[in-house]
Amino acid sequence: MMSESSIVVEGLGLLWHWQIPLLIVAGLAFGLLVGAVPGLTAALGLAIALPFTLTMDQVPALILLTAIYTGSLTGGGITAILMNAPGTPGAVVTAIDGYAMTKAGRYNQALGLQIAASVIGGCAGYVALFFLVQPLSDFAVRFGPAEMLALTLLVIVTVGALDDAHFVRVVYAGILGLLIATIGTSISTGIPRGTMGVRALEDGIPAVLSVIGLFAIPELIALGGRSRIVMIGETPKTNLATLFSGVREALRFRGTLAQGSVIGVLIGILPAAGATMASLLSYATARRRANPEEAFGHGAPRGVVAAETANNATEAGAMAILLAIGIPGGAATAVILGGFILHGLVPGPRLFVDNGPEIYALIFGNIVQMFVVGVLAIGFASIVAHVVKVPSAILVPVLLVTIGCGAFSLRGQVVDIAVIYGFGLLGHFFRQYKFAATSLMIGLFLGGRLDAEIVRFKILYGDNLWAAASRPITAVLLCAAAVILAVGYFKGRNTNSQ
Amino acid sequence: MATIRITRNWSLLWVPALFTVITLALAWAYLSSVEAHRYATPDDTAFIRPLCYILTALAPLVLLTCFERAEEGSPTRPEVTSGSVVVILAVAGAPIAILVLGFLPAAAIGGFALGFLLSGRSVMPGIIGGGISLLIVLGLFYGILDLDLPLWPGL
Repeated sequence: MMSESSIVVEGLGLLWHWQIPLLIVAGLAFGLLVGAVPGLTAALGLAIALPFTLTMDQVPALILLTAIYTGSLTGGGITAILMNAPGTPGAVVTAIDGYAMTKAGRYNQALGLQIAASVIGGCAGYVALFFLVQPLSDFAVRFGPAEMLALTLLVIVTVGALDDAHFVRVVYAGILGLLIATIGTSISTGIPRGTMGVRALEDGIPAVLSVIGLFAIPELIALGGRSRIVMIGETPKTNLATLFSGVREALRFRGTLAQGSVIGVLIGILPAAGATMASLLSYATARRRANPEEAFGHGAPRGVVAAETANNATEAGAMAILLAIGIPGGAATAVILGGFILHGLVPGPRLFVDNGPEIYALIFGNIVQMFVVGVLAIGFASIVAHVVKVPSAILVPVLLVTIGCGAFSLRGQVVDIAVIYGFGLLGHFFRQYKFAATSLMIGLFLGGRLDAEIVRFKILYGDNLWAAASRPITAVLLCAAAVILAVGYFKGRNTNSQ
Repeated sequence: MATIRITRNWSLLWVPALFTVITLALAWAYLSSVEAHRYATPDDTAFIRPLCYILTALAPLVLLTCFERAEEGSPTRPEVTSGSVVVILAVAGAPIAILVLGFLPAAAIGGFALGFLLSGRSVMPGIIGGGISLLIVLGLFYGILDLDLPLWPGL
């Protein structure tokens, strides 16, 4: 049995590879680009990159994927500040004070604040994850079939409660996702189910392809409705001296940085809550505590810091829950989860026991990434404006073809192309008619595992539901799900009636 | 880009309602097909059956929200642009095009057609879109990544 410290050292050793620095820089640059361009999401960027990791080892592949994710979170704030066009949903709050600063001619200072806050928030999140890994894995080990079932129900109703106006549709989508995930050969009997005679479906519908389709294709459909990604006029020029003054100014807001980091990590753990909610909550808390002279909403530097710190700290929170229990918090982490599975790492309680060094390598790699992304973002800010001028007429076909080829590359089956594009159309429908794609995604990822857990549950408890429900963790999770279900349903009805 | 507005509120009613009914019918068809070869132990329907029950219980509530939403009017009305319709058709037709034509012609023709239509029938974006798509298939995936793509029909 290896000691904790030797696992950490072995994890550091896995980063000692010539590919790692190159992949970090390439991943961050691509992530910054994807994050900065409104209409392109982190999930889309990760979907494009995923096939390229197939020939890589575990750690380099996962470092590349997480670098893209990190870059996208930081990149979203750049266009939010310069053009009032948030590249990612999490950067919407950054635009409130960031763009106000740009209008006042203080865009370099705002960029400095944003980049420093991103780096600090991201780093703080991963440092917290470093200390959370062991307690999380100890806790996750207590999860048996009954706990997993209760947790899945809780996650689905939580996703529904976060989207309170469409609560019933969200839960419906989640249950549908669970059902779709059972398609394929049954683990218990070995008989194909729901394959409609298509042999390629006997291995099931690949969750990662479904999720890429659900989230990436609707972005392209929406992009097809615009002639360019963003309509912009003159682009501001960057000035390094003023930008660094913004970096120094950000460091003065220690309390806001700490508070944003804590909020980001905690909100990041909640599935589907994500960066937007974290940055909004951090911004609102900072605003409540600020002096009236700070003029929140009219170019307050603290506002930019509060929003961006929480935005980037969510990454570590999302990774924590992904690694410990295998539940993705959003589309981007779902694709990363797909990357883990493709490379033979199965997130869940056993991950820390079986792949401890790889996980520590990932954590250290991400801390390094946070510093590199700061440097890259400074140089990157000036060229973003040129990228967003690319016409949709060129971008959409190129990305559609890339996604199609990427889908084929994962298993070498033509049916996967139909799966990815089919789920893309479903994702577009979901977006138009307010059925939550996030809820469906969680169902898709957890359905197969739950199906197997149910068989184990039946073997252990038979039809004695009470024996399972009376287990402490299960009881707490089921009670929480029931409360959220009741509150969410009545809140949704009130919202609709208003 | 011209905008085609779906002005009738009933689209908010019948489209999600139809989706609910179809998914429910498929769920029950799925359950009955599994029932057909059900073993006593272990039970293959142990997970599928409760899911179908929950879906069935939720379906009336979802249909209720369809009526509520149909009365709401413009704030939740879906907006469809001609560009979006072109991309939707391309997405729907892509698997068939790849199966019939192979990856290479499908990417080149599809890329050109999409670029041409999305740019408002301008040839140059079509050529660029088709050209880059061709390069991605041939150069990147087939060449550099050494992926065994069925480039031509029948391969």
